[in-house]
Amino acid sequence: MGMTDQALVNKLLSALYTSSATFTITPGTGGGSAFTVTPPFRLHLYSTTGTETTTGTENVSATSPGYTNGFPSGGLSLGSSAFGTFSAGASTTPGTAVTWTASGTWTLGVAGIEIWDSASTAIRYLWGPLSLAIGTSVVVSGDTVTFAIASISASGAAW
Amino acid sequence: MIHVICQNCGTFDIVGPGHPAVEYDAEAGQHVLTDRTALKHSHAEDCEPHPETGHYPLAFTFLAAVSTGTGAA
Repeated sequence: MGMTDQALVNKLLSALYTSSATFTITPGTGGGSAFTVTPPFRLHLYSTTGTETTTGTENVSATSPGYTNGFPSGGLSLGSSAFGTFSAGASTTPGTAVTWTASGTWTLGVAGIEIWDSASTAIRYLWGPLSLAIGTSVVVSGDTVTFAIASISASGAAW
Repeated sequence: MIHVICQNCGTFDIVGPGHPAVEYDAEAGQHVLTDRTALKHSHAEDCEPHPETGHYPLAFTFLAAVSTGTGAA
């Protein structure tokens, strides 16, 4: 059962995830601290998937050669407008395929992803387990790991 | 679902649950592509391993990788 009007969900999520410009949301009195949304959003890979409240264990170059971890410049950019306009509470990314090229064996697998912004103190926005994980040492030097156009979906339909 | 293409011979495989290269990790609650040698490219007659690396370079492409939802309020 939902709670928030879906037209508002579409507007809010589109505002968050399609913007190419940094902007700040300032709550009213008693509403907590302002926070700044800093595009572009970046796709990060995780050997252990996170949870609703905690980040996972990010892949690192030592065990996933060809992958760069960390914030704000790790992972790969999802472009100036990460997601398309939300409709029925949902949208997809990336608009252009995102690819890593392995320069050695990935001795840790890839189980999940997270999407963070590019702030100096980056903010985590989305997380999720892959529909099919890649196991240990399956990816080797010369291989590529790609997320096809629209392969990642986000939904606030039941928000 | 992962689309795997051999970068050497172009042989491709659609990999998901039920594929011989995939096992189910009950602890993680997730299907995992675990066996590179079970992919179709290893059976391609005209495909030879790269002379320097000794393996077939593969392109792994996630077709429908992740669905994230905010859940019901």
